[in-house]
Amino acid sequence: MVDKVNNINVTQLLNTAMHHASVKQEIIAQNLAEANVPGAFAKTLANLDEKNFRRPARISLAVTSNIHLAGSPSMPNHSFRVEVDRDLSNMTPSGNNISVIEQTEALSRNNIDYSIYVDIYNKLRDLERKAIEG
Amino acid sequence: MGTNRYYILSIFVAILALPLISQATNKIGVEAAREKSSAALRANAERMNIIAENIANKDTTGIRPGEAPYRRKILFFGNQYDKSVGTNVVKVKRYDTDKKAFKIKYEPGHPAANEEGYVEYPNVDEVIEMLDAKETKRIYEANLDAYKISQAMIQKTYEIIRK
Repeated sequence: MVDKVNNINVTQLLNTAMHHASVKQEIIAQNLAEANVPGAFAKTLANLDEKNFRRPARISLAVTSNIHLAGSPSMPNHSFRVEVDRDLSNMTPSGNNISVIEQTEALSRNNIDYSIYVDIYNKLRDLERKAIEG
Repeated sequence: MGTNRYYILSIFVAILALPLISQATNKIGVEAAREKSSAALRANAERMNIIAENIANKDTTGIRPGEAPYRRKILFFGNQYDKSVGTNVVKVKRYDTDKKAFKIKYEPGHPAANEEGYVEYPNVDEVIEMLDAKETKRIYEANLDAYKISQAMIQKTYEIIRK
């Protein structure tokens, strides 16, 4: 267990968590945008688990000369699972099951999560700065 | 001759660079979220516009016998890829008119009355329009909240970079 904890890089962990919150924000925004689109189903992002934190970064092509074209942008290789909500309890006659209340609640929760990650990240950087400056 | 060669070369380079440019404009995460909310705000504002038009014209009849009154307008939303923002956004897909029958009132003195004295009135139901307006307002507000939160998240991220 201690080994598992030691293997976790805190910066990488925060990076993954912030990326997750960012993708979640996109999905919630999409759900809210489709709140009155007939036949639209709500989508949710699977919660973070250990696998997300341990996945190695994608190996990108090295740019060894100015005339080389860079490969894909250096985005973290986090593939989060998007699930479609098939719950029929919120279904409207137009075949839309997106609940504005639920999505707004998820929006607030995600915003709080993101703020926490940013706070921790800032504190971590302050700590590093203090350690360097002495 | 030399200028022509450079001209052809620049076109060739531009064609090669096109996929890279389109990749650069693709937005993901919070930025995409902001664009989606922004597009939804525009779409819902357009819906509100149509509702207002329907309510304003609820008594608009013809002015000559046999002339059709105002027909209720409706719009359909759909998800479309927007190149300018680089993500799928909700847009007004189609405008149409409600095919429901017109209301008929007995008003023999009306200029649009037929031989039997009946006048066709628009197929606009005020209650339905008001409910649609309420729903649109609620969804507009929810999207506005989402837009504000996405904007705040982007600012927080920029603050990390700035520090």
